[in-house]
Amino acid sequence: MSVYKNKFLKIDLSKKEAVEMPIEAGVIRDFLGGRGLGIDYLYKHLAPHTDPLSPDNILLFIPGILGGTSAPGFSRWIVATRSPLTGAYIRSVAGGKFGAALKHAGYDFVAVHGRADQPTYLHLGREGVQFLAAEELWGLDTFATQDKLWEKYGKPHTHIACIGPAGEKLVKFAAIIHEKRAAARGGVGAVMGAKNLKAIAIDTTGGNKLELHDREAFLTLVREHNEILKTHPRRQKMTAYGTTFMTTKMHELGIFPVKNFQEGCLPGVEKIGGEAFQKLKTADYGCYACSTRCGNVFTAAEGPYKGATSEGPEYETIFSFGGEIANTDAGAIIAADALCDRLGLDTISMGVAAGFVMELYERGILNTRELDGLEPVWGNHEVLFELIEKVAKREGIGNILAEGTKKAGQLIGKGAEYYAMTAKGLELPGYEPRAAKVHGLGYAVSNIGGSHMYGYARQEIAGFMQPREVDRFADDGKGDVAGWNQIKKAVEETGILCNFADTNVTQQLICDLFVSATGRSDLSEAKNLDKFGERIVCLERCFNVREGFSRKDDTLPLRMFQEPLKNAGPATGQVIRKMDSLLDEYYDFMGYDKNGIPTVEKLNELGLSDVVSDMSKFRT
Amino acid sequence: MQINLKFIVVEGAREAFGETEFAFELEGRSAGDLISELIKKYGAKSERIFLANGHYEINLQIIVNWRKYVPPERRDEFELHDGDHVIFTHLVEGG
Repeated sequence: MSVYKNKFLKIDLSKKEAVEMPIEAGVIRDFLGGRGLGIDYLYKHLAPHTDPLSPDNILLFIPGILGGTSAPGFSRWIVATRSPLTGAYIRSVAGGKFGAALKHAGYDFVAVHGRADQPTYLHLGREGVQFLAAEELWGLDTFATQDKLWEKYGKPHTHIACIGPAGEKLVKFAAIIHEKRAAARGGVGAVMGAKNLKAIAIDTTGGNKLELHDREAFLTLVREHNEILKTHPRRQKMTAYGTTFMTTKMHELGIFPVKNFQEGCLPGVEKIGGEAFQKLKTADYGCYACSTRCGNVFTAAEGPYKGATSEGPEYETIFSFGGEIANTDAGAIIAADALCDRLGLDTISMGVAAGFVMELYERGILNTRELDGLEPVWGNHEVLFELIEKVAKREGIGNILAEGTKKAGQLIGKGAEYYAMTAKGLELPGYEPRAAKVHGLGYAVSNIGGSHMYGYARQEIAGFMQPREVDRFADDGKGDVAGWNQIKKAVEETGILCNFADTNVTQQLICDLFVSATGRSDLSEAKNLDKFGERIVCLERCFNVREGFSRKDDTLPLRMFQEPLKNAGPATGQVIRKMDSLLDEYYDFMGYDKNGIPTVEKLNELGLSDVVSDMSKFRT
Repeated sequence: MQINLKFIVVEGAREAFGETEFAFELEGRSAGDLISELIKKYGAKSERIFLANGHYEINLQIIVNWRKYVPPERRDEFELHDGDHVIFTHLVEGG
């Protein structure tokens, strides 16, 4: 017995076919689960240079090994595909209950191919897979879409992932929304929209029972995990504040980006800090089987947005709709967060796009006429809402921004591209690379682009001492730590374990949970897990190499090299001085050559011999 | 020596110390001494900030000069210097 289903659901929207397929022999052995299954499938089945918005792109919905079990924090889910925003591999992660629903539907993942000839939604239930016309849903926002489907199928047992108008309009940073949770990054919602797929609804009534290899041992470990969470002060703070707590701390350390990464000081930042948001908290929310319940529901108490409510915002959104555009109105952040969830937009990318426009306006690169009459001065949150609506509808300047900030910079010209704060075309999150240089290197070498969650540098943010202590301002000596963080994250995302539920969770506990759930004896030692993480990150890199990515793409916006950070307290004057050294360090640690391509030795060591010939075409 | 203190989003800090940012004259040398002397001077309300069930609150983080994290278990060996800035905050990270 095992929690592995050893099968996936292959859906072909063009043919309206849904077929249960066995997972190829050896794949689960080598890639463990979750994110690992995703990159294996994409590498094997997605032809290089496939247009991300064509029917040939593949959209994967993936639960983790322990998805749907009672293990707290393990029921996150991943969407993986080729990103229309970056052209690179993307995996976007979300919480809620959809991950558990995928597993309860009986699959280790769902692969969506093709394109429906008309707007369609899928219903997965006891009757099998139904392809249903989505005419009545098309054009609705994500909340209305879910309400309609819940009205039809019943709420407690129907779990939905859907797109909003932004995904339908192929906005390159459109999200997929489940309840009020987002698989936001990299335009996965646009890929779903391009497939004419409005929603997937899973009815878990009488769902497929998960079989645990050793139920008693597993439940004992789950109790142990819950006890760790229950008693640890960090968990208590997460439950109380979510990540809103981070704002004041990051600002104090000079890590909170302000005005499109121009500086690090936001007067009035306390108005959008953890204590301010705490006063606006009206409820909380927990994901499937998670006792942390770190999802905070906030409601604006006064001002023009009084009554606006949102599940969130988290720190990233406070950055993107706060510091990034120099706004200190918490109500505006709550309302903008809710609007993006409804329209199906990534709040990080949207906020960075808005900050980009404000800087271009400040510098005279864009004028009011070119901005449809808008006056996007710093802190003008009314303009933020105009921009969000315009992007989702692809109207005026919104049609340009909908291509993503990097592409928008190219389209606008006049030097605008310099002000696009992206890595590999993915908008940067709320950690200033010059003030937290492992984070900065992490953005540059991430296989999905500018993401903090591809290898979160806890060493810089929380004083984490593993694998070793880090000086966040030092110019070099960071490559090994960036690589280590990526590998650990990839291991967690086979689970798929949430960052907020891994408090004091040792790799040995993860091993023990995996062994008792699957019966795999090869997972019994923590030291064996890293190899899986390394294999996953390596194959993701190979995917990108095949798409033409190389060392030249492992970089940051020029601002990070050319402009010492301004007005950022202790981080003032910091700049990225030794990018080449940092890249060399990272490549050495990961076993990649000078061009960022995994070496033959490394590929063989990781059991990726099949990829050796592919990579040889790109070596110089 | 004078140590510049700041408490970031630490419940009870204002109540215990009257403010969340202030200078403190430290007689001892280490981060551990700093905590002991704060508890001695400000009493039970400050003790509740630093100690949980008689033990140092493991979730409370010490950051020296915005750059150096002091692990709680090494607080007694970590030397402070005149003019140092010490931040106390919670070990919460983002995502």
